[in-house]
Amino acid sequence: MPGVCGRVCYNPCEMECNRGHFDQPVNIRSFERFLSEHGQVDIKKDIPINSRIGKIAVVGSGPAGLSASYHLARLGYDVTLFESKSELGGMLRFGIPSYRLPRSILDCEIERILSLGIQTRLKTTIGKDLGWNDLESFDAVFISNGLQSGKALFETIASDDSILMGVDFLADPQKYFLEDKTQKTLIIGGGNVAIDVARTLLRLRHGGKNNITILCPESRNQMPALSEEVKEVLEEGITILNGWVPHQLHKDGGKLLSLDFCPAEVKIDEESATVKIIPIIGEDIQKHTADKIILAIGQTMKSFNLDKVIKIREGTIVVDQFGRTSHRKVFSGGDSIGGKPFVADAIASGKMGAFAISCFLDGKDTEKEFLAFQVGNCQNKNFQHFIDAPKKNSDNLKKVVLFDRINTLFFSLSARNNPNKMEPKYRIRTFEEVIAGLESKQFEEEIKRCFKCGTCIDCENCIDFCPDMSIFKDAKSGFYDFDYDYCKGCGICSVACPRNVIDMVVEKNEVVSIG
Amino acid sequence: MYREYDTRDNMYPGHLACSGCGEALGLKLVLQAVGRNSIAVVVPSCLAIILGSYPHSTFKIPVLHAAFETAASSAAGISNALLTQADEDTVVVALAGDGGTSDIGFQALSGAADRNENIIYCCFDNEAYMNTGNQVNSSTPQFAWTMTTPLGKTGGKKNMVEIMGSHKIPYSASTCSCFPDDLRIKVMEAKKLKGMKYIHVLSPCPTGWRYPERLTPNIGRLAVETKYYPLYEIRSGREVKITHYPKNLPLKDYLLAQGRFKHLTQKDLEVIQKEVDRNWNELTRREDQNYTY
Amino acid sequence: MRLFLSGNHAAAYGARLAKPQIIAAYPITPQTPLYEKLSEWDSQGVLGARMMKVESEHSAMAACISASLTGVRTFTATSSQGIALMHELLHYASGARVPIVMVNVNRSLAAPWGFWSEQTDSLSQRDTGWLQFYTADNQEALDTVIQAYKISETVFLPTIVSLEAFLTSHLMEPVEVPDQKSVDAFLPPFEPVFKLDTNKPAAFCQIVSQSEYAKFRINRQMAMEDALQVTEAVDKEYEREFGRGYGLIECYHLNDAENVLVTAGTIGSTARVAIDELREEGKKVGLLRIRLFRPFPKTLLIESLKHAKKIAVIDRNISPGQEGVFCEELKSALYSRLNGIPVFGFVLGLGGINVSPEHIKQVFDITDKMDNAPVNPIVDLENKNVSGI
Repeated sequence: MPGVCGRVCYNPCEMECNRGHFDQPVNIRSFERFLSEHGQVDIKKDIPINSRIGKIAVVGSGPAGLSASYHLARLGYDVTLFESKSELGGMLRFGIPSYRLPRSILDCEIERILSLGIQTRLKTTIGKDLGWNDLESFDAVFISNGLQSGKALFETIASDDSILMGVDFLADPQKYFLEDKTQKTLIIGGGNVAIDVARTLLRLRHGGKNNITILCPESRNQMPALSEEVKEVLEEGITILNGWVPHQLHKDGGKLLSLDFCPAEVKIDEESATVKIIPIIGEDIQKHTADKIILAIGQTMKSFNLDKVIKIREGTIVVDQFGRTSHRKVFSGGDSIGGKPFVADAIASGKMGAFAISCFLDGKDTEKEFLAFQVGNCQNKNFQHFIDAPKKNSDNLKKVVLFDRINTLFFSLSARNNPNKMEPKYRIRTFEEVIAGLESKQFEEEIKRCFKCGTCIDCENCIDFCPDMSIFKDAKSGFYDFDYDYCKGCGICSVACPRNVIDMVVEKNEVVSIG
Repeated sequence: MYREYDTRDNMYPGHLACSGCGEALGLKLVLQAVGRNSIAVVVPSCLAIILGSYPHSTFKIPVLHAAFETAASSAAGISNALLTQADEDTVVVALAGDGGTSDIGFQALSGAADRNENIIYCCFDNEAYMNTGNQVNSSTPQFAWTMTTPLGKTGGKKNMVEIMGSHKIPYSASTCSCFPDDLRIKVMEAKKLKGMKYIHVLSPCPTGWRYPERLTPNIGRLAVETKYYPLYEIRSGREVKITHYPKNLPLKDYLLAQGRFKHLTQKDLEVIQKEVDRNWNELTRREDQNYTY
Repeated sequence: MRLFLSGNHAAAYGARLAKPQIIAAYPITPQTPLYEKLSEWDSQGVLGARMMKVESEHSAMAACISASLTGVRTFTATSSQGIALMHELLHYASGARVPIVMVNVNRSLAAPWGFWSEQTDSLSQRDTGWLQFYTADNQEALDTVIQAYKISETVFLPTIVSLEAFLTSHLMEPVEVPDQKSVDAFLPPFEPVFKLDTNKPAAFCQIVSQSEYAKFRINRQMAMEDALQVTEAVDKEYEREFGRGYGLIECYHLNDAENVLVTAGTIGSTARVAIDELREEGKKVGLLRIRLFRPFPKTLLIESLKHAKKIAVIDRNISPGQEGVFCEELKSALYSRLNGIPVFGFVLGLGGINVSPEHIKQVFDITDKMDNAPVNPIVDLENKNVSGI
């Protein structure tokens, strides 16, 4: 879904981009969006000629479910996609606001995926409309039901309509009649949902003096929301108060509420990835009045008795690294397995699920298969090779080119090309997209900035720099090869290749016995 | 596996240059640029070893292995002989090392320049008498260690590009074998001109400069990018044009990467930096004003 | 056409008639009038050759060698310091088997400085593998230059034709200058099989192994040996065409001579006067003037001198620590067959001192009176400054 990711992805790739160590990372997210707009291919070509035998059920049509469906369809399986709501998309449609992801784009992307022949069953909640056991007729099941419910804070007054769940608000902003600018609104939470809620609310109120405040326990740097989002929301004139945690709720007659906040410290343990919020209870109490409080402090699963079928611990489905659950036919991914709550991670888990399902159904050893197609040294695998092993595989999938292998002497510093952003004073009045796409010229310039790490682009630096004329292009295969009769093994080519396509590998010393 | 040789190449692989030789690289590029309709003169230097011994020849063009100090005079003899055979098109290229150019061959070179002989003279500069085992010569830079300057050379380096420019020959240019396109373009530019053309090719030498052989491309590029060795051309002694604007990388990235400079003190570095800055400023000034000698 | 010419100009005519295509030269006294004459013809457009006015003799020889290897006929001229400066390249030229013809005006070598006739400069090059002619007059100079091209281009070895500083280089004599057409008929254009040619790329003068090197050297020696009969044949042909032949040696009153003077160059010319006078006195004396020095005509010398009772050699040169070169080479040539004949070595005329007919008569006299030939050369006719018997 390049149109989606090209807009909403938090681009972890850019954080690792080697160019970032040189000047600024390549604008990969903008590339993805540009390609989605200018480089569409017929994905029906993806359907293999020999389809695999198997019926798979996918529960939940968020990014994880859509991804799993897509990859399973690529593999040739017969996929049925179940969705509780009346429209597909999950959090893409009901969580991410349209000024970040226009609905028309989302619809197009979903349409393309469905064109592979995926069947859909809308308004069908497994565990309610259908039983989990009804899925036994499928050869495998992928569960990506997500975390649809907002975490509550004050159980006693949960039914009070002055306290809202952020996820509910985002699913249908118009439903709650919050357009009135005078309604003082507090948003509690420091994640993306909180930010999305604030900005959506602002737009409903057509900008201006907004009476919207975000409070969260994390410091500005610790906020789990994307820094880009935080920057934008501040530009739009919304106040964020960091380091506060709700302490006590007061109803001061009528509908006006006040909330006491006390300072808090957040300790983030990098290793175990646990977050501890420690309220500091003392004299320092801040009182805020509000007409509405919107909670965005986390989400939980509506399991509908799923825990009877597979192991669920602390509200998330227990899976191994391949998405396999405690039931051998059941696989899972997305928010419900408790990984990073981002679209890219959901999509990855859907792909992994499809992979694991395929191995399961073909009776292959999943670990072994994974290692065979593993890219680099992390959870990525080359899915294309997995589907159709290429005739000549010249890629070394395990090789990771880090920045120290790039020869920067062959590159010049240049600034990153960034797309236009609508100015805050205009964008707060509309749900139009805030960030534009790159223009063609920008795209061309940005492409040049990419080092193309580890990928031969026929620059022929190797041939140019070889003092022994021992590198040549094989006319038949088109690949570059070495003339070992004359190569002296100097290694110049491996250094002259700016992008580390060539490696010098020490030969094994074989001791030959003499006499 | 049968390998089809690249038709651009004007020499064959299998020569005896050291592994990682920046001079063999430069030679390959120069010969690519001069093309098949050429006759070469090679004199004792690393080039002569690369050329090979009887009955082999690395070159695809006719070549004369002449006496040490006669690169320019031998090339001139050929060039004039061709004229008497009504041949104005065959390119005559003299290929010599730095010693054979700035020391023992200097007289013949200056004489040929004075007569504006129609040859392309390429000096492959590895900054010492490398073929005989790394002895100092007038192209060895200041402070460099060689076998005959174990404490580092006290004097400076002869600037052959400037000296040849002072002869007001049509074209005098500095190049580096690690900037292949720049080198080839300059040789082809020389081919277009009639009269004496001088191309100085900085050729990093892992054996003599003492660095790991695979780093030749980096050493060559650092020489230029630190402004230590600018890439430029002089036409008719008047027009100066800088052909590569360096990235201004730190000088010690270049110098301290080589064993021959590892003994440099901070003071030495400052002395060199001062000289480098002065030369660069002078060069840019001349480029702006079309300075005349 | 008969012209009144200096040796330099006569040699210049010889060179011009041979139609070299490249002339590379550098001025040095006393060769300068030769170089200037060629330049004058060049400026008048009548020379035919392309002149390279190089910056030293070393470059002159270098240019001639490479031009010759490009397949063109070449010429140069020098003297004294110049030929000494070329020394390295003289070895190279003969090793490269290029048929360069060079006129050398014999002049004493520094230090100290002198400008007058002495043969040591070209004789110092006797090991370089060049053919060498020593001429006695301007006509011989012109004719020998033309002959030299034919010989060189047959055996593929370069040739030095020597004149003497001021004694022939500047002395003017009547000289018969042949016409171009006759010379063209005698000397066809130079068309070597092997040359620097982009149509047949090859490497010239490569590094070789020890055994290959030896092969090249032995080949060169064999070419030198062939050069004896080639020189003879060319000289005979020249005589047929132009009416003038010189042979490898000049014999004057040799047949019945008891005491023979062997010498080379202008002293030979002076000797004829002395011999005429002595013959009138009834003395049986004769002259053998060596014209071709390299290759050394050993067999011919043995044949010509076998009836002599005593031999005197006058050298206008010396190899220090040995003796005069012609004397030394003669002794060496005669040793195998005629070692009974005493050879008296005289070194006269070093630095260009005049050697008169009187001196030559004294030489004959001393030779006649001395029983045994001294080991060291006689350098002073007055005091017979001689050490050892």
